[in-house]
Amino acid sequence: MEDAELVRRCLQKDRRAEKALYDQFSGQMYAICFRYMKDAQEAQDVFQEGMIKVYNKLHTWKGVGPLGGWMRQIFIHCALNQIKTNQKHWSVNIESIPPTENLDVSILSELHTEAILDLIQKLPTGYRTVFNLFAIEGYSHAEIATLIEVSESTSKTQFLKAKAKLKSLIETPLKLTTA
Amino acid sequence: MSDWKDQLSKLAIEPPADAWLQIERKRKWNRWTRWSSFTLLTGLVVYSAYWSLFLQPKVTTSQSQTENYSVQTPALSNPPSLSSKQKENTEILQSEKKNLDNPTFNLAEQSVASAEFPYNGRVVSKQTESSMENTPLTPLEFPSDLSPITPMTEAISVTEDSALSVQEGQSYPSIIEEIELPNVFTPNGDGWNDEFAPQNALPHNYSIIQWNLLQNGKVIQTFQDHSIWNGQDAGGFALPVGEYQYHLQIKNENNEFFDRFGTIRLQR
Repeated sequence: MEDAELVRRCLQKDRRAEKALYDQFSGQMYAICFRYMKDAQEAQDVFQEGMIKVYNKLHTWKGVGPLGGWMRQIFIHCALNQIKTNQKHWSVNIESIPPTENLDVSILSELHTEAILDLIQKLPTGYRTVFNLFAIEGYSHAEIATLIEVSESTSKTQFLKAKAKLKSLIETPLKLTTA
Repeated sequence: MSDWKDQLSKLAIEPPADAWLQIERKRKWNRWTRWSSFTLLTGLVVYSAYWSLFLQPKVTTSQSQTENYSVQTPALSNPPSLSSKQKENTEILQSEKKNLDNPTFNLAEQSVASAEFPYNGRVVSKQTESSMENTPLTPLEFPSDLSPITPMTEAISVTEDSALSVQEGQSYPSIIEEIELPNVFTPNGDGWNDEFAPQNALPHNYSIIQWNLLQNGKVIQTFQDHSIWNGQDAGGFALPVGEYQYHLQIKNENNEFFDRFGTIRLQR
């Protein structure tokens, strides 16, 4: 079923269409929630809130672009709102800014997707959020600064620290293995 | 986009099995709370409109209940000198004034307080019946100048704002003045002037409520209608020769009350 037809039927309160929408997008949306939140419980809460918001705001989808992309935006905003609620301030530890060494995380390509997701979830909330937004969603630092209400430099710093943390998380098991 | 980013963005994880049920339940709950809030609010608006249109109690006030019973006296520009008797009465008045701190005394006390003001034409007031039934009254305001006065020719009228005002030149209601009350009587049994009482009949729309006999500002006897005083006290003993005061009160068919004060000399 095409997106437009699905939305039209959902707007007519067709329960089968609503279930079809859920079945079609729930996996992707739940993965987004899982990526942004620190555990499954928080991810489930955000997923529930996001789905309800999607059903309530479905009439605002103008049919421009894929429905999945529009839903993705809603879920990301729900996740960010939840993170803001949980964490009043974005903690930035200036002293722990990593040195300007090569922070290439291309090694992630060698890892399995579930392993990458597991590593991302191990990042502190601030790092994880900025890493998700910048590296995966493709937002600029200026956009991230607006979204999570921090300065642009803070966003950049958080991303550098996230990469450093990821690198250390990847290298630690390797070091242990080689030793 | 590198492979791992592409894989992550397209990654799908199956949500918990009961997620759909929970979402459905929460949506139903949200719909119910929205509906109940709307219903409650609408009901409140409708009820408040109905109440304001049909059920709101109407508040009415009675002007007669707001009229005050108070004593006024005209200010005299050149008060004459006081006689000994008037000085004595002045002292009584001053003592009474001190005792009038309590603002909630009833009509009986009010009448006595008025009656103890023993000058001719000193107190003139109009009072409606509804306000005379033991309603809290404002304390009497005795005049600062306690000079004696001659029979007054001013009347006091009750205005809408409950303030008493003296309108100079306006004559005192003539009905109460027409009642014959001698200023001396001799209860010696000679058949002449042996009794003291309001003499002539009143018009049909006026009636005497009572009249009080006072001595030194104190009420010593109260008489109804045209009852007579034969110079004896309530116990039947002859009262001594001297000056006494009286307080006569009449009312008309509109329940307007009028008072008259005067002095009577008892001789034998």
